Amino acid sequence: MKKSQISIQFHWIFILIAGIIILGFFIGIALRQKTVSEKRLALDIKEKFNEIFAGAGVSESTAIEIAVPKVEIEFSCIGNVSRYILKDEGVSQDTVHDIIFAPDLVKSKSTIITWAMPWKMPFNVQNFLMITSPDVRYIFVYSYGGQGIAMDLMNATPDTITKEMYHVNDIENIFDKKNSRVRFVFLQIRPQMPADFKGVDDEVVSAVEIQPNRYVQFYKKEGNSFEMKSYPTDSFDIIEGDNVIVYAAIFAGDIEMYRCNMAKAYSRLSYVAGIYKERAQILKQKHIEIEGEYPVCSFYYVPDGFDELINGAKTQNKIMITGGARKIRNTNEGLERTCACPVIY
Amino acid sequence: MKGLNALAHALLYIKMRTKKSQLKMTETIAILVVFFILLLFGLVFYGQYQKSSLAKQEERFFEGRAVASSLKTNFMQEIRCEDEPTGTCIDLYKFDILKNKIEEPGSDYARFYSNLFYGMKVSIENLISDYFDGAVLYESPVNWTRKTAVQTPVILRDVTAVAGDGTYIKKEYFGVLNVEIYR
Repeated sequence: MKKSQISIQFHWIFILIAGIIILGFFIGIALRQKTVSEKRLALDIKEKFNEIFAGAGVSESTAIEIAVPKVEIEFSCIGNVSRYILKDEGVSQDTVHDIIFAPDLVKSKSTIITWAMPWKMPFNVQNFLMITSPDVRYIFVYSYGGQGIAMDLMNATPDTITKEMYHVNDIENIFDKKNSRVRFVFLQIRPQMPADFKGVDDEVVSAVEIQPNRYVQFYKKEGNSFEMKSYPTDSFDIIEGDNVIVYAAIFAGDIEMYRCNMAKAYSRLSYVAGIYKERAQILKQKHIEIEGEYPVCSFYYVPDGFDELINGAKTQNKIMITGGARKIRNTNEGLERTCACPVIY
Repeated sequence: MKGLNALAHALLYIKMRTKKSQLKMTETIAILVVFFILLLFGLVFYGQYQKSSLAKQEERFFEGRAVASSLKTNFMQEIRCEDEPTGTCIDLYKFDILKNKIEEPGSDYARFYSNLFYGMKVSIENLISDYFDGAVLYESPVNWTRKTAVQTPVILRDVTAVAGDGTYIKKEYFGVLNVEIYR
């Protein structure tokens, strides 16, 4: 072989190696850049959700439909640790002090729905934030006695959520529409599984049974039927007139999320009530000093109910909470009737 | 003689060819070196750009977190006036009670609210009246390198003020709720 021929071959091999190195270099940079961009985008989305949830959490009694990118958010609250995870992006955010009720999976095609409701016991304690998406389907099923309550609940929930109402006799007319999550809300009746849902994945379908002013019960789909996920002694008594916790039960993914968030709510209640108790004592003292021998306002500042409320909140005793809240509300109404006395709350 | 001349020519030709190919090789290597130097420059510039854009993004997150924390603080039932749904009114009694409760060492309140206000300083400032200057609700004991503050104009309300005719009035002062976030 001639030397010039060897030289030409060597030349081409040299170009090939150099080309591979250069190409590899650029591919490496592109791959790295892709990973970095994805990570940054995920963090960006997480921060945006933080801001969205913070804003939504303070917008009392307002349902907001928020345009977001196509995203899947997993919500959980186990023990005392609550968080949401952006599934595809792999980033999570702890929500230690926020009270969020949401399905375990919220799939957004283009929007999510937030709804903040103030929890009053009897004063404002904290807003409950409900999060869902139009892809989650809520089906209210009522019996003869429960139509009024079903209507009330349907009308009170935001129009933007996907909701339907059926009489229990029409339950077989409910068909699966391939939603990511389906929540049945049975009013004053035991849950029954519509035939069309028997083949649907267990994790997709769940139910709550609401017995107004008595309790809510959680159910999970197991095969062809609903299985109770709380025991009778563990059911949640509904505090009379407190509809917010009924909505919380409707929106909560499962019993664990409901229990965990309610524990946070009761804990916060004990702190807020402690502040109101001390405020009432200070107001009483102030008015004794101002009014002297002729008590007007100071007569009404009886800290009755606060100890009961605080102890009830600490032990999660709904009877004590209801009793304490009622006494405080009565005292406050007395103050409102008496001209110009500063109210307790 | 003729043969020798031809050999010398041939040798000279080969030498020239070798030199020429060596020259070509050196030229190629030089081009590659220049190419990689330019690439390196590009990478350094890109790295710097990425670094500054990352810093900007972090700054944006930090500001966003500050606004979210400030919003949540404004609407905290523990300090806000009950009848003001807009989060722009602070009840001075509630503020003072919470402040004292947080300051009790080892109390449940100290534990809960130091966790809630971690990395924050929350204070109010009275802007007009000389009734009082202001107060700090909580200041997080963290070593910080950077801080940002969000100030919200608020009404500071004293519910037990007494008017000249002896009736109770709500006395209100114009102030600012300061929420500082540390990093």
